[in-house]
Amino acid sequence: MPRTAIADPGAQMLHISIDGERKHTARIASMQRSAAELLRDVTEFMTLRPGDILMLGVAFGAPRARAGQEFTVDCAGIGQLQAQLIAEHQEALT
Amino acid sequence: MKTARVAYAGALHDAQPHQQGLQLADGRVLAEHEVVWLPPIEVGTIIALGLNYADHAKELARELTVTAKDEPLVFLKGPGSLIGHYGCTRRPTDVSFMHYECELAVVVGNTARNVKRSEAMEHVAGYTVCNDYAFRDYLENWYRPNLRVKNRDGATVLGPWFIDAADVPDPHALALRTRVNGQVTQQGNTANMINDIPALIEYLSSFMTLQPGDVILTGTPDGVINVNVGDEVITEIDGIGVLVNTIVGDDIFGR
Repeated sequence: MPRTAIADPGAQMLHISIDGERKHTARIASMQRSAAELLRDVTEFMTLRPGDILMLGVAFGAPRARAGQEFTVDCAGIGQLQAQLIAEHQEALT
Repeated sequence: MKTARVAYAGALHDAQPHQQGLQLADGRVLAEHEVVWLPPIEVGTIIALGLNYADHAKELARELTVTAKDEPLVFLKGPGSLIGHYGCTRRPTDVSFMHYECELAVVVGNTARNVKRSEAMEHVAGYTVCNDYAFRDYLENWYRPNLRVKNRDGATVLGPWFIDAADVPDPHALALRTRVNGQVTQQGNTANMINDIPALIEYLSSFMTLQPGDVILTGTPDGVINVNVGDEVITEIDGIGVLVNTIVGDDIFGR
């Protein structure tokens, strides 16, 4: 999503669902350091280039999921990411 | 076979050693200082080992709870950390302890996933020298050195030459040393690695796929000392290369 499409990233909520059931919700504003602070801190010692990704960390209490389960991470206005976990030995078989 | 990548006269070139310095792939013969040396290969993922020499681990024993028998301590570095031979590395004014680390760099030659120790060396394309600077003031956790310690722009020096694995009969019998302004300050031998190269490839490839161009920095022995602005730091490994770097201050970066 282009930055201009999101007025205030801090105001967004992150939802995690497992097998269709909502398990966790986090407020992005509850981060200890905002994206702006992190960008300032990181670029003090390393140059960020177009395409680099800064991951902002995970909220406390993130739910656990098992192989075979499907999870969804949902952030209103940004998108919905869906994937399935498989066991490592299954990966070798496919 | 020894190869380098250099910039000269407005273009990038592959080069090989020559009596007078080096020879570009197009035939031109040049002195060492006429070119800009780049890292000698196109580098993929950079995997760095912490505490992989028994003596270095012993030197730090007072501050550590880890022992040599634990799993290898590994972390990743980004592409912006790399510079080549004769490059300059910035020493921030606010640090009191910045030190070099002379390391054998292992270059992966072909895809490795779930590789066993006995086949691991078939995945090695060759070797080069790395000087992987650390900025100890910023260190908070030995096991997971943060980016500010280990991923600074231009603080991972690589080169000068890529040496084909076929030309290194035993990578675990190489003397290495660091000289600061001509004085030897660090000495060791790759025989003293805690996790040797096959062990590292077996371990890493058990959970991640190693790709051609990935580089494994195999750790440093003890003898790390503080370096200051103006110091010339030469890290060398017998049979692999002699890598020169100079420490510069914040001022030339406008800080």
